[in-house]
Amino acid sequence: MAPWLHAHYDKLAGIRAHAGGIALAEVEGGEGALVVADYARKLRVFKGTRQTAEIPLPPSSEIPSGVCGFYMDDKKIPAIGVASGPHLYVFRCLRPYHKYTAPPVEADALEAKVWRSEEMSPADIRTALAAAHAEGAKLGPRSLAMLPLTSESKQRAHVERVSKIPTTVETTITCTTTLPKASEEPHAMSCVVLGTESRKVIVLEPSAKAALCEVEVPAPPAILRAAGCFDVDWRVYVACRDARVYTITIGDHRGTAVIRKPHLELEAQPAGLVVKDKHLYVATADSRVACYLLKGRRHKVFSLAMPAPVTNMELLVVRKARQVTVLLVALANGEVRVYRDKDLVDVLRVNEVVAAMTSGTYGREDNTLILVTQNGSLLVKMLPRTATFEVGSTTAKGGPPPEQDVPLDIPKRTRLYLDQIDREKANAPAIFRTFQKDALKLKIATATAYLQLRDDDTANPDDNTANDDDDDNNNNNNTAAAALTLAAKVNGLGPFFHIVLEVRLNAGLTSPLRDLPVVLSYDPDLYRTSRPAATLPLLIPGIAAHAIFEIECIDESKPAHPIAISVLGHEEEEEEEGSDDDDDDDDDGDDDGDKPLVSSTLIMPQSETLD
Amino acid sequence: MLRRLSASLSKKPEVHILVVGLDNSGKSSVIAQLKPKKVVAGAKGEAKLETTPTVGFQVEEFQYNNLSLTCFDMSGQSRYRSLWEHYYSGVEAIIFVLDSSDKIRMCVAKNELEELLSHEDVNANPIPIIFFANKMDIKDAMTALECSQLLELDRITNRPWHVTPCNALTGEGITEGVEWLACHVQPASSKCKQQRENHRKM
Ligand SMILES: Nc1nc2c(ncn2[C@@H]2O[C@H](COP(=O)(O)OP(=O)(O)OP(=O)(O)O)[C@@H](O)[C@H]2O)c(=O)[nH]1
Ligand SMILES: [Mg+2]
Repeated sequence: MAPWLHAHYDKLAGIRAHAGGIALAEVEGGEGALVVADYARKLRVFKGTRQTAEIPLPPSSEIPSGVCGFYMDDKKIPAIGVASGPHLYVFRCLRPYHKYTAPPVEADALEAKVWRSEEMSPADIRTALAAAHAEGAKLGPRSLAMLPLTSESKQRAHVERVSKIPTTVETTITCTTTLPKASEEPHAMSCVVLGTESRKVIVLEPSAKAALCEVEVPAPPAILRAAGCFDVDWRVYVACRDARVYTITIGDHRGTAVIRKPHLELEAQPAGLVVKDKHLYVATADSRVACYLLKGRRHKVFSLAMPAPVTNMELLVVRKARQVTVLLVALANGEVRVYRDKDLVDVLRVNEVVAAMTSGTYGREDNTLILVTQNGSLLVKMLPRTATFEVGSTTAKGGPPPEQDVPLDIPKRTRLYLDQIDREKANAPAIFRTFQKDALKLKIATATAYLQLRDDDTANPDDNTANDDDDDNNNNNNTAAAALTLAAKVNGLGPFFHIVLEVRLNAGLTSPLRDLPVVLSYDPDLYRTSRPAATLPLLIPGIAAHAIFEIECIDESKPAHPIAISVLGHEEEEEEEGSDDDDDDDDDGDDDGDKPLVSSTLIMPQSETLD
Repeated sequence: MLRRLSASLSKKPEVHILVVGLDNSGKSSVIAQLKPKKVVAGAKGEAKLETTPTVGFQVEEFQYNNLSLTCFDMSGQSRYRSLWEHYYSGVEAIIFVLDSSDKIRMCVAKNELEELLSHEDVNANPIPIIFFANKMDIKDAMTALECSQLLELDRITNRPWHVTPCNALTGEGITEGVEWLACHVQPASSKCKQQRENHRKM
C-alpha cells in the first residue's frame, strides 16, 4: 500500500535549489510555508498551491547555498535567513532586515607582508611569493595569479590592480542550520549555524548580528545538523568534505565550542546527514546509508546499500497514537525510500530526480513531505491519518535475507593447511617470483603457438575447408570473394535437428572480425526455432568459430525444405561504404543492407518419425 | 403555557446530525449559523461567531423550523478524528464541511471522506450527506463544483448527497443546504415522509 496522499504537483514551479535550499518555516500568519532560496537569486515563498511572494536578493549576490527559518527574539516574529556568498541575508515579514557577513580569511602572514611592503619591485614580490609557495604556504588568489606572470609590464599591471584591494579574502557560506537558543518550544528564539569555505562553523546570536562562538574544523563543512539547546547542552554534527563527521559541542564554559572526539570516518563523501534519537544516519556517495551510535565510540549499527546514489536524506515525524519517526532517502533513480530503523517500509516513486526534500508542517497539515525535483517541479505529499509505516507492510521487504543467518559450512583448518600458510608467509617473495616467471612463460608459449598457427594457415590455405565427413547432407556455397568460409552440417534424425556451423576467416585476411551476426532463413510452416539468429564469437585467422542452432520440424508430412544460412557484415561498415559515395547511395545502401558476407544453403534431411 | 410549549416541542421530529470536516473548515461556525438567532444574540450578533477550535466534540440541541436538531460538532483536528466513527450509527444525516479555500488539503478531506463512507456503520445506512463548500467569500476559494470534482463525489451512488457553497460568517447558503437536508432526512420519529413527497412534486 502506498500511503501517500498527493496533495499537489506543480510541474512548472521552476524551482532551482539543492538540499538545504528549501525549508518549511513560518513566514507570517502562523501557517507553515515553503521558503526557497532559488538559484535565480530570489527568496520564494509558497503557501498552499501557490507562490505567494518572491523577493530578489541584492544583484551582486551569489547563488544561494541555504535557507532557514528562525526566531530572532521573544516576539515570535519569524525571520528567514538566506545564505549567499559570504552573507546571510535576513528577512523579516518578507522584507530585507539586515545582513550578516562571515568573517573574511586573513591572508598567509608571509604573503600579507610581501604585499604590504612598499619598496619591493613587482619582480621581487613574485620571487618572494614563489619562495613562500615552494615552502607550502597557502596563497590567496592574488598571489596565485601573480606567479605565472613573467613579463615585467604584466607584473606591474597586476600589482597596481590588486594593491588597492585588502589582502583578506571573502569566504563563502556552504551550509546552514538552526539551533534553539534557550528552549525547544515551537516559537522560541533560535540561532543560525553557518559552515564556511574557510573551514569554520559559526553559531550566530539569535539576532544574527554577531557570532556566539565559532570552531575551525579540518575541512570545509558540507552538511550541518544541530541537536539540543544552546543555553543548556547542544551538538552540531558537521559532515565535512574530508569524508568525516565531526561533533561540535559546548566547551569548558558556556559560549565556547570545541570539537568533541571521536570523529566519524566515512568511506565516501557525505551525501546526507540526519540525527535521530541516539543515532546518526549518514548517506555517502557510494550509495550507502549507515547508522552510527551517538554514544561512545560511534559504533556502526548497520549499513544499507541503496540501488542508486542518495540525493537527499530527511526525517519525517509521523504523529499518531504513537509517534513514529521514519527516515526518508531520496535516490537518483527517482525513488524516495522510507525506512523505519533498518526496515524498508515504503517506496514512493517520483519518477524524477529529487533535488531537494524537506518535511514538516505545511499549511495546517503536519506530516507533509515537500519534494523539489531537478526539473524544477514541486510535489507536496501528505500522510493519511491511518498511515502506519508498519514493518512488513510493503512487498519490498527490507532487512537482511534469511540466508544470512544460516551458518556457512566451513571445514576445519587442518595441520597441513596451517603449515602451508606458514610456508607461504615465510617464502612470500620467492613464491611470488616463481609464479610471475611461470605466468610469463605461459604467455610466451601462448603467443608462440598463436603465431605458429597463423603462419601455418597462411601457408596452406585450403586444407581445412573440406569438411565433408558428414555423409548425406553437407553443402558449402562459398562466394569467391567471401572473406569467410562457412561449413554447416545437420545432426539428428528429426523432428529435432542441430545445425552446427563452423566459420573461419579465409586466408589472406589477417585482421580479426568480431560479433558477426548469423541468421537462418527457413520456411516457417515447416520449421521452428527459438533462436533463428546468433552472434559469432571473435573470429581470428586460423581458428574456427562454431555456432549451434536447434531447429524443429513441425510438419513431418511435407518434404524437407532447404534452409539458407547467412553470415552478415557489420552495419557500421555498411554505413561507411554508403557515405563514401553519396551518388549511388540508393543501390549501394540497399544492397549492403542485405548482402551477407557468406551464405550457404543447407539441404535438410527428411524427418524420420519413430514409431 | 410552558407545558403547552414543551408539548409542541416534543411533537417535532427529532433529527441527529453528525457534523464533520477537517479542522478549521468552519463546522462550529456553520452550527452557530443554524442555531436560532435569539439564543445567539445574547452576546451581540456577529461577535458570537468567533469560534475557537473544538476540543473533542460538542453537542448542540436546538429547534430549526419544525425540526428538533441534535448536532454533534466533532473536532476536525487529526488527533480527534478517530472519535467520528463512534457517532456513525446513531445519526440520521451527515454534514461534511469543506474549507474551499484550503485546496492543498482537499486530498486529506477526500481521504477522510473515503474512510467515513467505507465504514460499515455508514455503509449499512443510506443516510443523506450534505457538503458545505464553506468560506466561499475568500478570494481564490474553489467553487462547489471544483470541490466535488476533487473529492470525486460522483462516486457516491448509494445515498442522497448534495454540495452547496456557503459562507458560515454571514450565513449565506446555509439555509439552502439545510433545507435540502430536511427534505432527504428520515427523522428518528418519522413524520417527514409526506413532506418529502411534497418536495418531489415541486
Ligand atoms: N472567511 C471565512 N472564514 C470562515 C468561514 N467559516 C468559518 N471561518 C473561520 O474559520 C475559522 C475556523 O472555524 P471553526 O468553525 O472554528 O472551524 P471548525 O471546523 O469548528 O474547527 P475545529 O473545531 O478545529 O475542527 C474561524 O476563524 C472562522 O471565523 C467562512 O465562510 N469564511
Ligand atoms: Mg469546531
